Amino acid sequence: MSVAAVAPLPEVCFHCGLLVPDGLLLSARVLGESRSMCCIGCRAAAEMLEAQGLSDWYRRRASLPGSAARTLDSIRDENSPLEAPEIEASFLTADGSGSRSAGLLVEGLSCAACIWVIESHLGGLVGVEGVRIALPERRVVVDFHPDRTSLRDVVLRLAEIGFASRPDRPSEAAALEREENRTALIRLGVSGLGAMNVMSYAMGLYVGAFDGIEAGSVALMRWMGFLVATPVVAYAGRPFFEAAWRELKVRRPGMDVPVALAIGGAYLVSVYATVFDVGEVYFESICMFIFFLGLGRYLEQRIRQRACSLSRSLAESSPTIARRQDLDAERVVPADRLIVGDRFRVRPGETIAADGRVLEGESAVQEALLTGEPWPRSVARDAVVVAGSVNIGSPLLVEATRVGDQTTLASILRLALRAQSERSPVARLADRVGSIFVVAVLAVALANFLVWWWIAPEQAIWTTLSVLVATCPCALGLALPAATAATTHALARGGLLVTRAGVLEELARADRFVFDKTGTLTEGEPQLVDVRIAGPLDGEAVDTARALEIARALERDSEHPIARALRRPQPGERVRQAREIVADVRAYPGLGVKGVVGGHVYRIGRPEWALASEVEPSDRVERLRDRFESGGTSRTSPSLAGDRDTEASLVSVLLSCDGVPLAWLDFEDPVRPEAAPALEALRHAGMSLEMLSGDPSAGAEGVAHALGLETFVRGALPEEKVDRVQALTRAGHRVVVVGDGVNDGPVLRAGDVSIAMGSGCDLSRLGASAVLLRDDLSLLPQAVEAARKMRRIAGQNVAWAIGYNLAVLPLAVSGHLPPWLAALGMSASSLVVVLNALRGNRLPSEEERR
Amino acid sequence: MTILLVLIPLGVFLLGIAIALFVWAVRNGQFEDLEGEGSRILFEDPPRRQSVPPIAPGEVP
Repeated sequence: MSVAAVAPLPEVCFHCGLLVPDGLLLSARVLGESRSMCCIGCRAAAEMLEAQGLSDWYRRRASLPGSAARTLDSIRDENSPLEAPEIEASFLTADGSGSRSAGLLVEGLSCAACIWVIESHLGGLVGVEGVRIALPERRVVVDFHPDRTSLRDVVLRLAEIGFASRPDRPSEAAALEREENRTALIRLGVSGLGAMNVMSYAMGLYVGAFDGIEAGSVALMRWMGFLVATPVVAYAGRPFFEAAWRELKVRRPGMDVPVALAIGGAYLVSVYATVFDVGEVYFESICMFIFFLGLGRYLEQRIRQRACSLSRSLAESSPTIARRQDLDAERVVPADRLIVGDRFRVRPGETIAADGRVLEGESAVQEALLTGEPWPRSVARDAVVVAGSVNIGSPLLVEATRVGDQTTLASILRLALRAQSERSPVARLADRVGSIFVVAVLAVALANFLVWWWIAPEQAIWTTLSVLVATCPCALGLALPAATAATTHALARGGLLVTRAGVLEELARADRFVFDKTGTLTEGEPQLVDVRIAGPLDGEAVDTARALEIARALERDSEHPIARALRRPQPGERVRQAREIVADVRAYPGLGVKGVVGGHVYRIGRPEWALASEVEPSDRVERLRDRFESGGTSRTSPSLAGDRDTEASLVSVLLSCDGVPLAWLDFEDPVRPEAAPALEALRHAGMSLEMLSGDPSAGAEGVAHALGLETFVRGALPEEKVDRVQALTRAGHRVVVVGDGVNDGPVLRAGDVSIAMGSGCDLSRLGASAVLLRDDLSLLPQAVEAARKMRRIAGQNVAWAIGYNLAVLPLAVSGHLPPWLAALGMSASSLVVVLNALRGNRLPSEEERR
Repeated sequence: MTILLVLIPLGVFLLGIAIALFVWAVRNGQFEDLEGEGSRILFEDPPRRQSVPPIAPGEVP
């Protein structure tokens, strides 16, 4: 959505999509036509592709590179607030040597080639001292000398090579998270390396037990094991002890309690055995256990953190500024400096910084962020505007009524964050089962000790230990995390980021999908689908190309979704440089745009408004519409015309010349191409599907029919959507909600699982339990399949772990299982669980799903 | 088997070095980006940066 800043209308390079500089005449023959090129490099590349017979690429590529939509000018404007030292300073961190460093979030940073381009290009900027890039977080950190260059220059320099970037406030939370990650990695390294060494001593002892070994060597191995295992338990095992302590403090013993108990107990007994040279030592089991459990948790946590940072960082970082209107002058201040009653100006294209009331100006605001609807709302004096919406018309003067934490946007954000911190029901259930298990194990061990104490006191401690080790819930503790980690990883590689624990379990049980329409099942951006010629111009008929040209010229500087749709080149069309000189362009919010071309007044917009000079506009419009709906006088090429029957969500605007209709331009929000097969696959997987749309038009119905959705609700308010989903959950359904806007926030929270579209607004992603990175709906059936597979694997794992523990328990209690054998069995059992979980590391392929 | 008295402590010593190196590497940010760095070998060497003489005190740039 941010790509759609003020775009030029222009001749763009056929190869790269950048602007062709004025007066440059470079062209290459591609796909049988002469195409303009912006530079010699592009021409060479295009000619080479053509010569190699690879020009089909131009047909197959989905779109021009994104950079084409943004011009340097617009980026310069957007970042002009950075010139204010106060604003710039808020993004910078200083180090001792006088240089500053700034973090930038870069859009479209996707591969190693980007790293290279950015490093070499930024490195060439005078004053830049260092560039560090973290690909997974899409972050670039630039060190520069504040006297020689500025943050704004860095942003512009990046824009030159087509990377849109936003400065990112240094966040303490992020630094803390990185520190935690590093510590976790070190703990993992210590336990892994330690486990390998202790294992080698244990192998000596195992072999020695059969082949004979000197008592001195045994003592040496044991003491060495003690030496290495101690730091592993104390340092790498510390998180388990801490977590167990926390669980005990809140009287909710979970998996960490038996884990800590097993580690601690086995360690103490081993130390006792080493010091007094009796019994067995279990140092190797302890280290392996800590390593495996730590590895599973670390991997899962990293993937989740990455998912969260991707969804969070963009939301937090947008440089929110306000142009405060003080008595003497206009000042640019950070948005959070505004107080209630302040007046601030909002220029076209800027985001409104606080909730407020319009004092001056007439404009339209885009509230897609909050309402999800793509069409802007027109506002005038006394209208209420909300923070986070974008002014797309003319300048506004606004009086702030709610600021900072009080804004509508902030309250939605808080709700989303709260939802994120709640635990899933399945996780809670697992905890409860874990508690019961723990209590049972402890009871059995205690009973065992007492009974043996009565029969044979010298055997009591060893059989009790055997019981504890044999029933050690290591495998059980690993069963779920290992399976979850493997599947989460596989899904993340496929493009579905899971942001919360427990989501996959819920997804596996789900039986109903609820979709939002706009932006989820459809693309969310209107597209020009048809141009129908309405009448002659100057006695001779205009052609569609000419009509488009005039329409584009009129809408050149508008931010309206229709203008953006107009500016996108049609498939197979070559955008010509606008030759028209448009004078007196004026936008009428909610109505359309008027301008003078060659002495004629052209209007484009609502039909009744475009024909305003007519006596009976509405009547005329009806007649005109009738003529075209029935007449089929469309002269457009078939590629531009869609299937009219399914296009009820059509929005038509009329282009008129001096009040005489010229052409109808039809726009619609098309259904995503992969939606139909994806929904079919979901149905095949036994899901019932449903669409809840806030769109009251018949278009919603059309979309539902096109996708074969029998259950749908159109024109639903957010509360109604929530009610519907809650009714479904009450009826025993497990509901997955897929949506994209902040307005979907409440309904996303109502579902058992919520999935947000990656291109949707940043805030909806905050509340979602998973994010579809590539906006590819066909990942959904894959995710369901993967989640079900994960549940099968987890079930097998739990069955195995519990089954094994139960099977060896009688042997341990009766004294037939020596502790060393119990430990060996325990390690083998854990290994089985881990290996089984690794099967989830692969997404189910197409064939398997059939 | 007295050689064990030398070899095993030696192993523990090497383990200590390995852990120290690993800790250094993690603290140094070597594990922050595991995807991008792998492709670095394919890049050209960065162009020599034009060295701009530092601005002397009192000098007008």
